[in-house]
Amino acid sequence: MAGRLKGKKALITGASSGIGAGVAVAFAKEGADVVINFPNKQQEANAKKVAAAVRKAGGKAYLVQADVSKEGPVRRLVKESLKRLGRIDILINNAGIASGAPVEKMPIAMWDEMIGVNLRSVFLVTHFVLPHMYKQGSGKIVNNASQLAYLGSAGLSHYCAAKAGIIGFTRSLSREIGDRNINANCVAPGATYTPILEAVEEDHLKAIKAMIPKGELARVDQIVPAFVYLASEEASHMVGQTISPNGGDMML
Amino acid sequence: MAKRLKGKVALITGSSSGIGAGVAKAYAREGADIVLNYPDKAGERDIWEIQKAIEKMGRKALVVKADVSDEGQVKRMVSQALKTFGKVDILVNNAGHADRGAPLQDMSVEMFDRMIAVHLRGTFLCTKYVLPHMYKNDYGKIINVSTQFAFGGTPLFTHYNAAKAGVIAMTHTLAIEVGERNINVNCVAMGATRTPMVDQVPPEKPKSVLARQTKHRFGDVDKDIVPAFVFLASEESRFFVGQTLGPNGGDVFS
Repeated sequence: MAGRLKGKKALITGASSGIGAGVAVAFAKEGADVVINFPNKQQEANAKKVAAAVRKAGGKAYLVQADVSKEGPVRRLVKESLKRLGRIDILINNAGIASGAPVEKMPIAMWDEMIGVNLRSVFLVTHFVLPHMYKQGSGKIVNNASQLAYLGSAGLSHYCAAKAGIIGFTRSLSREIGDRNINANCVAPGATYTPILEAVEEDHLKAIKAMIPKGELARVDQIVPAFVYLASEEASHMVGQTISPNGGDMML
Repeated sequence: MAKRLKGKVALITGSSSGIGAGVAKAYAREGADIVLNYPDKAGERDIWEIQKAIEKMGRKALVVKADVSDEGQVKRMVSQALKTFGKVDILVNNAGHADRGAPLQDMSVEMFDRMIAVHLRGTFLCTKYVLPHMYKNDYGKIINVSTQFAFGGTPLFTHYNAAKAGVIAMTHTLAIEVGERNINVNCVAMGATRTPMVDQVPPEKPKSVLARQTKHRFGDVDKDIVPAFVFLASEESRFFVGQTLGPNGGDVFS
């Protein structure tokens, strides 16, 4: 069987670690070339490691540093991606950060940063990629949301608002795209072992596990196939949907 | 690339036409042996065609006639499947029918009972008799078939939509009962799909459905709907538990 993404070109934001990194390597295994976006100098070494893994899997990998919450850098990211890849068939809006505080104590800057990186970025990157997908008459957009968009979580009002925003954005975008050969969907993972989770205390992790029917948090490789599916031709009738690999924590 | 269902055995109810037939062929293509099921004489000719197609792919196909709403027949079907293949790794509770529907006050009690019996009781019965074997093997994928109308409703189909919403609730509950075992229970709730079943409903209904749908077209069985069943039957969906996928061309967003 041929790779499910053979010959496809993918731009993945926040691909230097966690789910984004896993998606980059999985896409390469399925035959795609990828742009690995990373946010800053500190992440450069990680991004290089991901690029090496992508190449080992048989794909071409290009590194582009850009803070996806800012218009100028995103414009540059998309331009650079088109230059390297020639086209963008698949856009994975994955970049995300974690922080936390109760609403009354949350610094305004913390709120703004979260909405900027986790929500505004989805708008910005899509804003600059979409015209090219319209022109080529095809495309797959997969946005990384979270089950916390539905569940909520104390101390994460900004994160949950951003992730719920992504789901609403994806549904509206789907209506705008209409019957063009472009699909926009979401993956809403449950708690997953990624660097974002490292800040969570052991006791809290135990409480999270107790809530999940599978009794365990997801590993990145259990989440990544959902992205492959939505990026492939197999999901041509999935439109504005949110699919949830979460071990049964939240059933929709 | 390796086949995604290599060495697996799948029992697919209602596989003489429509989505069930498409799923059976796709699973065989991905390396699985298949138990084909059909309810009555009407499906007989089609099912042999499907069996032939599967055997041509080098896979085995056992054909079992059984009405899934009948306990005795379900019991017999499952034991035949186990006798032939020794296991059932994948169960797709797909068997279903549509009729022209009726406003609730005009709906005959028989019409209501029959719909619930095939769609909801059938899903319960097949699962009840397959599940113990999955527990024993600590392996299984159960995929139930619902519809987006379980969320949105649609006039004349109180019986159908109630049965299909019941299937989703059953999926949630069973997923929790299955718990940490290596068994996944999920659901597919497709939108309007080009199948023989759609041909039975009044022509104005599909039209109104397509008007509000984003892609403005019926789902194609093989291209649009079946891949969701392959995904949920494969190891790729290990962390999907009690979920409902909606390949519906952008109608109900879930």
